[in-house]
Amino acid sequence: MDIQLTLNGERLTWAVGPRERLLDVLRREGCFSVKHGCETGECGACAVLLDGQLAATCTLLAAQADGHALETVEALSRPGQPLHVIQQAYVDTGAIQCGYCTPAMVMATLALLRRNPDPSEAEARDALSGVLCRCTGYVKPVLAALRAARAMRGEALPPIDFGQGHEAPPGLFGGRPGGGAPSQADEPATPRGDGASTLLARVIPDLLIRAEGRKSVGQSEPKKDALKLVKGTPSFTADMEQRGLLHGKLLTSPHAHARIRHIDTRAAEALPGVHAVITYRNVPRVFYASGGQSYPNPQPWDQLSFDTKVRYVGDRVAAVAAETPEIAQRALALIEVDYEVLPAVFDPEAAMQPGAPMVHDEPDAIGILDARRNLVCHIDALVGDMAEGFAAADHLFAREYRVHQVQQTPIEPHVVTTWWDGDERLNVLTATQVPFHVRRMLAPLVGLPARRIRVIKPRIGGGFGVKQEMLIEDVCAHLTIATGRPVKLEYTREEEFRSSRSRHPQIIRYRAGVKNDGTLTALDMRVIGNTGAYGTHGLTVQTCTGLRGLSTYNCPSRRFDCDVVYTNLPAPGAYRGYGAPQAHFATESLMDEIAAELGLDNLELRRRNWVKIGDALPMGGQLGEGAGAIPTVLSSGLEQCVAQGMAAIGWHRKFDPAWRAAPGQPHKRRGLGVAICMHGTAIPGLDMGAASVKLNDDGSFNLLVGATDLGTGSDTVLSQIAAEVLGVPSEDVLIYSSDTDLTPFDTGAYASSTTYISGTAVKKACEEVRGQIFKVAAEILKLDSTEGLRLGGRQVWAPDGQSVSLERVALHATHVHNQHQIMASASYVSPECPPPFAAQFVEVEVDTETGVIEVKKIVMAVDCGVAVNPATASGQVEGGMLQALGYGLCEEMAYDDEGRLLTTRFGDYRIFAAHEMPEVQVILVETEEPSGPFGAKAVAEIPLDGAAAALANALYDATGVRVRQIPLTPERVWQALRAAEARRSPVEESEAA
Amino acid sequence: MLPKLTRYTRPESLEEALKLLREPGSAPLAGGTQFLAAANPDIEQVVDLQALDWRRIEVAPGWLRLGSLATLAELAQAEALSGPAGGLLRQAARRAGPNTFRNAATLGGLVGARLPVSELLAALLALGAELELAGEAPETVALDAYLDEPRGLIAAVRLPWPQAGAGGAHAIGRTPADTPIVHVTAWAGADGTRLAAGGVGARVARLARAEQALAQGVEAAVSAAAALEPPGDFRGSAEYRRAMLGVLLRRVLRDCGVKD
Ligand SMILES: Cc1cc2nc3c(=O)[nH]c(=O)nc-3n(C[C@H](O)[C@H](O)[C@H](O)COP(=O)(O)OP(=O)(O)OC[C@H]3O[C@@H](n4cnc5c(N)ncnc54)[C@H](O)[C@@H]3O)c2cc1C
Ligand code: FES
Ligand code: FES
Repeated sequence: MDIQLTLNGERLTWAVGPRERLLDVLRREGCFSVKHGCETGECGACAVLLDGQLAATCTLLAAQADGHALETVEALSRPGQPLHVIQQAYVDTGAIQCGYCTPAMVMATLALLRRNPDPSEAEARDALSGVLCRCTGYVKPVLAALRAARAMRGEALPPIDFGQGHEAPPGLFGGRPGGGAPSQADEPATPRGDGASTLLARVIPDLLIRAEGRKSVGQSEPKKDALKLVKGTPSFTADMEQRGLLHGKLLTSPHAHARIRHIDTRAAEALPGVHAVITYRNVPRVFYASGGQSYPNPQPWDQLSFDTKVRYVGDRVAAVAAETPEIAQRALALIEVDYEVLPAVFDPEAAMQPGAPMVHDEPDAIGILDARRNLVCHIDALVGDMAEGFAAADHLFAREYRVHQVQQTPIEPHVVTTWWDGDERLNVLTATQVPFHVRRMLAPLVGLPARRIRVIKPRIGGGFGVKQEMLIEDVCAHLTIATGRPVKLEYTREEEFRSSRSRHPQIIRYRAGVKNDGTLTALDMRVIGNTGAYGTHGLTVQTCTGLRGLSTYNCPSRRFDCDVVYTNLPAPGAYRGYGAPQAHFATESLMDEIAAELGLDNLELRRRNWVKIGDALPMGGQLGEGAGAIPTVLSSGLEQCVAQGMAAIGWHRKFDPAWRAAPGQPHKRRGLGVAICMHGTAIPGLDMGAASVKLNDDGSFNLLVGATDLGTGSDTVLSQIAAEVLGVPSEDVLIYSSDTDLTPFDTGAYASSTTYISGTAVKKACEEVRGQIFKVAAEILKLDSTEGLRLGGRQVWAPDGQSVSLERVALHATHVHNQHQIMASASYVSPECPPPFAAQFVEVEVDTETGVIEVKKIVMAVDCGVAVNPATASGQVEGGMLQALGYGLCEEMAYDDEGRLLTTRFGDYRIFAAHEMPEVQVILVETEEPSGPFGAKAVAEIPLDGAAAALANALYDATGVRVRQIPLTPERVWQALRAAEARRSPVEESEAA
Repeated sequence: MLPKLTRYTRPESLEEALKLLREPGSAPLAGGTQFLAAANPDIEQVVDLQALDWRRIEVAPGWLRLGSLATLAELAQAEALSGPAGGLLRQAARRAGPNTFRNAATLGGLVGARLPVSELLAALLALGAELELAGEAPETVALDAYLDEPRGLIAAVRLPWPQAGAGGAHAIGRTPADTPIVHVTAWAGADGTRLAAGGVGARVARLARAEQALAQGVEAAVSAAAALEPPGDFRGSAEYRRAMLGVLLRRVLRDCGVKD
């Protein structure tokens, strides 16, 4: 049927099918700003203005739009035109991270400001409530909306204060001192969680003498890729079109554990429009581990592209390539699979028992420790003597903590396109954090030499670790090889929930020996890690749990002992934090439990034990992936972090009984909680980054990096580092990342390594280029030596005050004399792994009748070394805390008894939306890390570490009840409160019984 | 996906709509927020109601009439809804989902979707809503009867208006704006107190036994409600839901000024 509509002011007639969704039609017609993030109207990535109102297009039939007017972000500024003030505000405030949600956010803001030119913060939050963002924590998008409002009202815009140590001006941020209650007068639907957020504060402790005269490093420069992201220009994998494209689709297992007796694909193959059906029968049997990790990939290698057995609900069975997604879907239904259903096991302790179902009984898998007991591997490490340590203690503690499975949920699902290029090389365009690992790992699976594969990473709509996997690239590649055609494979949200990766659930058993004064004498940590159906990342995540659990505090005797176990759950993998959030929940809960029992101040106990500058981190020698050297702490702002965090949260209120009871609400209790976090920066001796820099003949530079910007802003930060060394504004640095044909190698975006490792590589390459520039400049300036030359303002300056422009240097070198290309490359591997530190604080109000925890405020003070870009650094912390809150409170992959995932859509799997976030405050405590580029260390993962424990500690502070299992859902808290009540009044209880 | 869907129609008149809806495999389509995600595989024809003049919100003597195509956003902003009863409705509409959803979802679709939780449905039940069904012979049915046994095309939702009284609504969720685990709404009006709850049964429903027991006091109502057998799921067990029903009942009754 034909529909007529107005799109961005233009009257159009489109032919659409009766089943087609508006989202698909808009994208087909070239409106690529409209993004796919789900199929249920719950993420908002596809939202446009329909007759001026924000509406999701994935739950509208295209036909419903007949006769209506649509507006998308494409209308706000055409290519080459200046940005709309709303777009400009998003760029200026640093509100864009991966940018996948940005077009919808911008349109939501436009709809708001058209009807309400002077919105309150609560109204801005409501306007953005339909657009989920996994990156920003909404702090800066809300700021952008309010700033855009000012601009549209024609008011002068104040400069954005990215932290000179004071707060944002009142008004701009709602400015409610102390975070009091909002006025109730007809506020929009921000019923229960409406908080103002204070803009970034930066603290530069006096121990740091800031290097004078830095121009680029330390500035909150706008993101390099902001323009295309805010305009919605096609930049993501799914936006790239290919002639003759086929659509791939995966058939997955309905059973948690089954053998495939027989599979009949004839009917599917016969369906018109189907070009290939692949199963274990026509794909080579090559074992691999899907985790994108350095060579040689850690074992076990227990995965196959397709196997004769399925090991979780959602495991691969077959794949189809067809002319349309719909035909592919119909073909799946025609594949007949004869399953022999096997008993399944979901509990890791049961899985280790004799007689438990064997998840991996295939004889040819490689590197499984004890498949009969479902044991993937065993990890242990020991420092000192445990018996001695416990003997020296005055008190012994034994506690068990349990952490659950959560998902990364980037708004862009996994998506990949593969095709043969003219040279008959397999091109793989993919949303990956690890393009180089993907090429190396893919080659044996598809039987091509790696040189015949090219992996290209375009913009990525967030990853958070789930894209540190070669998750579906092999399937897509097999389909292209089978059909000779370009194939796109894109997960639906349900597939993303069912058949991707997640965070490892664990059982953590701590035994601690402590002296009367709180000094730790022994820490014994036993972990059972549930790695689900496959061992990917199983060894290394659990190793990191031990490392992080046993490094924050000095202690003479420490032991880590861990079993990593198979079950019939979807395999977890890498998730931002990588074993550390699990460890921190246990360790930081334990510290509070010890303090409470010994009657010590919980911060004083920690301070007594935490590592200080110069302290060794002995577990690092045993539980590192890299070389075995023992790292030491070279920089730490932890003391400052705690002091700043205490002030920001109002820690003194903890000791004020009047504050702790909510007036007029006897069932409400208030409390404050803290957790100390320490993370790593990169894997020492293993993570490697490289960069190449080339001077162009106009004085600009091409910077090619293998580092994988997945929305974090690493392209921006690396450009700033280059600009600083090269003495140019960072707009002169044209950065490109990452493509296995064009850019140097990089291990990829994980392990908090990019700024530190790739940043150092960039710095080294630029220093090398600087030397080459000096030589040419000396020639032009007729100097005898390059001594004393320096770069600045696009010029080379001689000590005598003469200067020559970079453009002239470049022209000279390429055209005039002794012609050569000024160019260098460098790589970097670090022997160090400098820990960033942080103090996490939360304020809660607990409803003791319902168990509901209302988070009022969340504060993190982070020592990330020198913040190369404070806006992106704080953005990392804000967004990380949103995920960490979810981990502690509400996010959970829930299963039925048969191992079927129940939480397969947003809404059921709850992530915080803009209108329910508590007040968020980030403080950057900047120290100078001697080993880092310009003093930087990592910031990406530490925001995930502390919130869950801080919440549990705040719950205890408020109610006296300790909960050792997350998430702290209303029911779990209520059950704990009830159990405590029963213990307090055993008599009544027995009477009642 | 709706694999069998082959016809999209947008009737201009009620007669045409009714005729189309009589064809096998047909279903009415309003905002589509539930329709597309639910993806009923048997549907062959959608009858998009948008061209019908069913969007108005109007106050007539003794009645408030909410056109079934009025969106939840329109309801949340409707000036006609004044006083405590209006406040209860508007607040419930405002709290329904994020704004993308409120802008699209309609009142008719809300009723048609018959969800197990919906604070807005509970508010409508507590205020004694009826539905105007369009058909050869238009008729009026009570909202709770329709939720038990859906039939026919909803033209409007009607409420006795104005209503003097006091109301209260409470909900529990994992996060402030999460789909509630349990929610309860009460309206204490001239003709007695009505209670409605979600998350404690297959559908949002009146708490008839608790309403009757209220004559013996709040605690009697709470005990009567405890006889319900809520379903349990990952959001909350049956035990938790039953206990919370009691807690929230006390709270809403306190809000309405109902004393023991
Ligand atoms: C993101 C999101 C958040 C949500 N949050 C909430 C929430 O907080 N509270 C809440 O209550 N609900 C919520 N819902 C569910 C919501 O109630 C329904 O999706 C919505 O009300 C349906 O309205 P609609 O106009 O889109 O109906 P449609 O999706 O078009 O239709 C829904 C059903 O009703 C039928 N129908 C439609 N109109 C009529 C009519 N006039 N007569 C008879 N039958 C009809 C349709 O055939 C269909 O079966 C949410 C849904 C989403 C996607
Ligand atoms: S809301 Fe439409 S893609 Fe998620
Ligand atoms: S910036 Fe919002 S989802 Fe990434």
